[in-house]
Amino acid sequence: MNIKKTAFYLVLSAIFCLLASGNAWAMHISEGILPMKWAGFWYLIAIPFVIKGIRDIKKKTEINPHFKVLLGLMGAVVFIISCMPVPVPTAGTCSHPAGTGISAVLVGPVMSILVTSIALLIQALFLAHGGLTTWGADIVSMGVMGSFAAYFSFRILQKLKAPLFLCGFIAGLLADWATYATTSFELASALHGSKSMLSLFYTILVAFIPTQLPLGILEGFLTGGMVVFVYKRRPDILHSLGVTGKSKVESQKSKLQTKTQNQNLSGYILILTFASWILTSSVLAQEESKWPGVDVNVVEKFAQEHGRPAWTPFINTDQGDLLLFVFLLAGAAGGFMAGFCWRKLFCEREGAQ
Amino acid sequence: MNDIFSDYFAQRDNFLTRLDARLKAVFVIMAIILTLYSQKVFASWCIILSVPVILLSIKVPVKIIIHRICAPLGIALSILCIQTFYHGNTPIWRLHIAGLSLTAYAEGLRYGYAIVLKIMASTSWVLFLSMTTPLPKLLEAGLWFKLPPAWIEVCFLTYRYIFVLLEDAKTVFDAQKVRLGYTAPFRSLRSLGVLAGTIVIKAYDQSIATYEAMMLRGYKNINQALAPMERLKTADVLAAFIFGLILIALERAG
Repeated sequence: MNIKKTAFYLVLSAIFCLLASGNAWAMHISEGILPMKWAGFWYLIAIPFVIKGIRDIKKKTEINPHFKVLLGLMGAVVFIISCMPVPVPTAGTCSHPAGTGISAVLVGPVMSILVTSIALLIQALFLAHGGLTTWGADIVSMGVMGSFAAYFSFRILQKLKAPLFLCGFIAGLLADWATYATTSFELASALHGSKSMLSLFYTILVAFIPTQLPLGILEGFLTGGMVVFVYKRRPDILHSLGVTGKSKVESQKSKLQTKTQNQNLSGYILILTFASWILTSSVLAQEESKWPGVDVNVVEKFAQEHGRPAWTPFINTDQGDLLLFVFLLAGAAGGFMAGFCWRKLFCEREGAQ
Repeated sequence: MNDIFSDYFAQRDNFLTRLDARLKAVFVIMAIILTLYSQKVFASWCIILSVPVILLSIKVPVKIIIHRICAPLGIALSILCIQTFYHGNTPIWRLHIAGLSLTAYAEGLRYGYAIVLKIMASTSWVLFLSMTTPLPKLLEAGLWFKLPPAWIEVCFLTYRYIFVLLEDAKTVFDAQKVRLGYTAPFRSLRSLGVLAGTIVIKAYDQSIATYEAMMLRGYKNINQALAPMERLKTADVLAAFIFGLILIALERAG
């Protein structure tokens, strides 16, 4: 895509943002936007997931007798959260979180789809928020994509022993972003007409960015904060819903393990960063002759033109092993400082805990 | 929230709320489908103008109607804008913004205008249904149409507990606000997390309490709990005839 075309889409997106500002209920595709064939197509995709959810209720109720009632309440939670106007300062508007991240983490993706379908129906009927013909498309974007993105990211991060807040944060973030990406796709696929679908998809996607980029992060904080709060106050809820699946003693043990693994992980990251720094600097050193940089090309050139050539520095570190010696000195001082403060930095804090 | 929630007006007693929910649901769904298939803007305009008049006749405040229409209207206008600049070959005018020229096309404008009318007409039908039929009646109708009882049951529970949890959320939010929970960005984020967590905990506890209460009252399933749907009355038959005429008119107009 050339620059002009990109700029064109950006301007179009900006107009879209301006018009859709106020309360951005853009997550739900409004009634009548999708032509009937597309509305039917999205219904066909959504319905099997809802049917699977209905079938699974029976199995889940056998394990947890009040599960059906819990689903009803979870529907109310999704409804409330997806009606919660959150100010988005970058767009100067209000938008709302999806809420499916929370339900997917707590009751699983399939149940979350079922719950979302109910919340969406009530919103469509009684808040003109979404629609009856676009119900299928809304279920696919918010329910299917949002729930699966949240659930899988949460589980994968849990398997990697990431902190609970991070698992919840990423789950909420991806649920929101996946929902908006799918909504953009649904709109673009139905409305592109004879033109390229991809360009309209980019236009709509870019239009969502001012609200959805920060809102996704906000939803991440909301989901992460919720998971951590429930874990601290009522770990039995997460345990009974299979979110954490560990007893108190086990979870304390795993907490210690996670801490060690986190330390290992940060060690790996440090080594990786150091290695990549060395690699980059060596590559850059090789390329230096090809790409002399702004100092040589501009500053030095102009200085020479005006009769002010560079003079030899007072302390020339390029001569002999002076640079190496300075590094050694800095390393020794740093090592001494770290050794001196070792107990204060690590040992005393651990004891206090 | 109560005054915004359209169901509030459906609880009132008037000639439209007294009509059978099954009839209204079938009529609205068929009307939306015909509206979407319709190629004539005249039919859409008739719906857009007549539905608010019907709603005003049953004393739904203008403010509420405008409030409900605003969100879809915003989306419709943005769709119109995108379509105008996106589709077509016949330029009608050019817009110069910071050295960039945007061309509006006649075909795009026409296509966008048709979509806007379809959105507004379909939304008007949904408004008609929601402001004249309470959700429990619609769910009973759904059960009569053989929708899965488990799904209907969960719907009922969700509908029942929206307001309970909303009240709880408002209490927690007010408590956080007076304790300066939303004064700084990071503190606001933490407070939002706590708010969501509190709602989840309350929802979980409430689900156990509700389940026990239902069991104590001998609840088995939704079919047993609901009374069977009433037979159609003379007024319903008359309404069915009028609805049929409207649908035929819509089909002919399309």
